[in-house]
Amino acid sequence: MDIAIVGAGGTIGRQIAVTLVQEGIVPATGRLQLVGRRGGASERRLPGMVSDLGDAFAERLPEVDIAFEPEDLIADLVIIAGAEEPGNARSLDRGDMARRNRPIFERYADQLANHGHGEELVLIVTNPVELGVEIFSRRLPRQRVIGMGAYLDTMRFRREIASELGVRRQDVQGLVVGEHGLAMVPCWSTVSAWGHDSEDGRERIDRLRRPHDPAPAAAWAEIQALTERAGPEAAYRRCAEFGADLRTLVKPLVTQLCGARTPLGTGQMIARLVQTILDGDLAQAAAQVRLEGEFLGITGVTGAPVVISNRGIERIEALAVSPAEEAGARAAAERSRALIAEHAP
Amino acid sequence: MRPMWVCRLRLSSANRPGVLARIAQPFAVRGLSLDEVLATECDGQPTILVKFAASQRLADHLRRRLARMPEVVAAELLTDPGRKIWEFAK
Repeated sequence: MDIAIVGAGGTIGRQIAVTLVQEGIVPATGRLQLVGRRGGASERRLPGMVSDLGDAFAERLPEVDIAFEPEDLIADLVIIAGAEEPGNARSLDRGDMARRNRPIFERYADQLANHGHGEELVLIVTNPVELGVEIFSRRLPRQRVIGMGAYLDTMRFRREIASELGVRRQDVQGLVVGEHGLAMVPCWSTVSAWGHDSEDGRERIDRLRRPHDPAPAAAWAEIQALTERAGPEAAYRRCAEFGADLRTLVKPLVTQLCGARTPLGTGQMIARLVQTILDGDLAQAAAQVRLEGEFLGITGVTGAPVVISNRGIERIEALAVSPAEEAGARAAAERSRALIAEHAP
Repeated sequence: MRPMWVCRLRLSSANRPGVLARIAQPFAVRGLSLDEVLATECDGQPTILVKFAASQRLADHLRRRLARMPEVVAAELLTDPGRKIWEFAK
């Protein structure tokens, strides 16, 4: 499969590119297209980046193509990681992101719809990921459009659980559905871990829940204020007092606010999914998809349990979750609907 | 039945090993056979012609894909009304 990264000159896009090459996920006989924006910083940055990649990975460097126009986008697997830089680099407002990034979604979705070969797979990393999934799904078959927000949240949730149980992330199952944002829904009802099937093991998992944690919005505001007032170390210390579900939400916020952003985690997790897709394997995970009632009867875009293959969304799982999780997923879908209605009616 | 196409690729003069393999790859990964291949010169320029069957949409994708190769100066897609491949070299 030919792979393209839209926004390859950005922090996240660059890390995805480096990881794909470094780990040999794109083989030396493969092709990687790095797409930047004409007139943007990436027009100067990408040629240098390709030269640097050559120096670093000459032994395994695939054919690397640089493109700056949507018309030049040609790939089988397209990773949308481009974003318009906000005036305020720390802006995390979803409405603001939607206004800035909607044109990017539309330009590349139009291009694939009009000039693609018809079987492209699109992984959307750019936020708001729900808006991206909606815009692409209006133009391409919905099973070929995968929003990575819930996938990343799921990997983070598993990591937080694994660290408390003292096991490895790959030993933990569990999904985060809903919005890639404040309305994310970590589903404790889906959590299990290798070696924890006994009654005692289930109790250990149940003890990870913190019913007295603050509500997500309150925790978000507290951590944002603490990061700005006392710095990231104090904020991470406070995060450590929360349960795994709340940490999944607020720790990336600290990472974002302190300027480190999240390129390593995001790049690595995306690259691992790409590896699974290229290998022809199935990944059972969660992702933002356009639902037509398959999960909890929800229609519209939200994070849902899915099985991903090289054909895209192989199936959407009609997973049973707890009543509270179901209510959360419905509320998240409603928030996405409102965002889409406002920004891409 | 899928229509037949000839893709005429004009190459830069700097001949590099492996060009033909890289041209064949996007066809191979889609399970498309190359019916005929001709490496020649057109107007003094190295040229490779490949003949294959594909849908219009896929043929156009392949042309655009090949046009992005560093060695390819221009890629044209020509319909094949039964002519021999070398006739397209003229």
